[in-house]
Amino acid sequence: MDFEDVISGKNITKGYAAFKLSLPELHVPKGFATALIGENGAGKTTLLDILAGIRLDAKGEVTYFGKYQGVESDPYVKNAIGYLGGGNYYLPQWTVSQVCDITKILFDSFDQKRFDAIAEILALDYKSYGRNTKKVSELSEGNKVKLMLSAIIARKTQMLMLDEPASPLDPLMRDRLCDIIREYLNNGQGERSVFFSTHNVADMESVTDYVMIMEQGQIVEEGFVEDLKEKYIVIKGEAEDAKAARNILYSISEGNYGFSGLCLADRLNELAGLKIQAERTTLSDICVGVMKHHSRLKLTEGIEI
Amino acid sequence: MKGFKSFLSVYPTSYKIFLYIVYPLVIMAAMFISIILNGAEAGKQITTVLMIMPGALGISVFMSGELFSNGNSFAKKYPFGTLILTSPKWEEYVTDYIIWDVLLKILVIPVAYILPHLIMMFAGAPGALPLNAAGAGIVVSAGSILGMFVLRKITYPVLVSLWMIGVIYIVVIGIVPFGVVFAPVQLKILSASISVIIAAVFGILSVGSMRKHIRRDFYEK
Repeated sequence: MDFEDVISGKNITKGYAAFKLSLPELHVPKGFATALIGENGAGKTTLLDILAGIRLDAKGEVTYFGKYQGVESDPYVKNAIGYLGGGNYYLPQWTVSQVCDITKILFDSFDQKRFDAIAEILALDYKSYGRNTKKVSELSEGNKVKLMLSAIIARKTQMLMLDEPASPLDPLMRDRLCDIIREYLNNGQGERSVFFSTHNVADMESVTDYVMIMEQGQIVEEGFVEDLKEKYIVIKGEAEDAKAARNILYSISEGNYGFSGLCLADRLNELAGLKIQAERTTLSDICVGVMKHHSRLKLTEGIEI
Repeated sequence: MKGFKSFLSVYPTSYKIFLYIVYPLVIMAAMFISIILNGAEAGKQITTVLMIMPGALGISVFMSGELFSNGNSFAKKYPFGTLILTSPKWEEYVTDYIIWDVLLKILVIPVAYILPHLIMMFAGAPGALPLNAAGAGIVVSAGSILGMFVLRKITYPVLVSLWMIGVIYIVVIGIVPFGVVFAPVQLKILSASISVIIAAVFGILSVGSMRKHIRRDFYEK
């Protein structure tokens, strides 16, 4: 499927002592929800930090909204991006009321009434004795995410960049988050985009249009979810066939009674003659399989546990 | 007022109370002790001596603030919150903070110096309010800017050590009249003038380069 880029990049690199982010090409599609998936330390947060302008020490070219070269090239870029991240995003001693005041100072389009309305919809527990005097440090992790979400949706943005938004949320709220993302995109009439990282692939699958899988600082697989579901197939088989299947499967999990693994649809015919079952993949299957294929984790060897 | 509002929101209240209330009170106490123990005339002389060492005072003022905040670098623990870096106005916001911080130091610290002299004057010691007390305050403020400029490159343990030296320096200079107190007036005026010029130049340079500094702290870790 052809698409326009909301963000495109070339030769983006950022090196640390034991890790290097290296992306020869980056294309985040406009008008869709893109999930960035990868194991811990794969470089997801580093990439989001670079794109959001939190880190400016990376090399490479990044173009925003098809025309702005660099995140600081025009105030429009940062105003149009709503970023939600972890750590000290808000200082712990700030009250919710101060968060609103500061957001008003820092961004052009913050709407207090909209914030209040969204906070109410999300059941954000931020009032202390009826006033917005509850401190950020007094909020639970889930409520902090709700606060950040309320504050960025209360602005007029063209893109949301969300770093692990689902992790601290309960299942119900994760479902609500998917609704919010979908609603945000629908109301944008193709002009709005969402780029989020997540480990909760199954919970976020319903809202994911496009997926990028990162491993060791590189994008090792990407595409529209439906295309990837055509590209890969889940294979299940008997234990005695595991050895034969291992060389053909993209990744494999073996047990005493059988095996299951991910197979490229193109290579399915190579498994002819084995007692296997082919199933349609879920996004989780694809992500785990691809991550396993590229991971530096030793998943099947080593010490007895 | 936007800048002031953002300034107020940045650091914890304990930091602000220490820097703008407790610390000036300590200085005032040191001045009182100095004047009471040495008499009004010697107190005036000691103020002049303080002018010769604006850096030490400025450094200690700045360090006390840093000790109660986040060590020696804005960037290491993001005391401004990551939020600010996602804003197109982040430089304006940080600069506002610095301007207010420096402004308050310039306002508060001289008051701490002049007030004891004023009180002593109304208590019947007219010689206790020399013009150089005000001058000392200005120099100290300029020195604090200098300290801000220099100390950003110094590690935390060194910072603590220097702070202790600064405090000891104030106490010692406040209580023990060294021989230098009674140096010729012309020499003191010359030393003080040179100190003012150096401190002012560094102060201007430091404020001027602050944006660059902050950018480096944030991004070139």
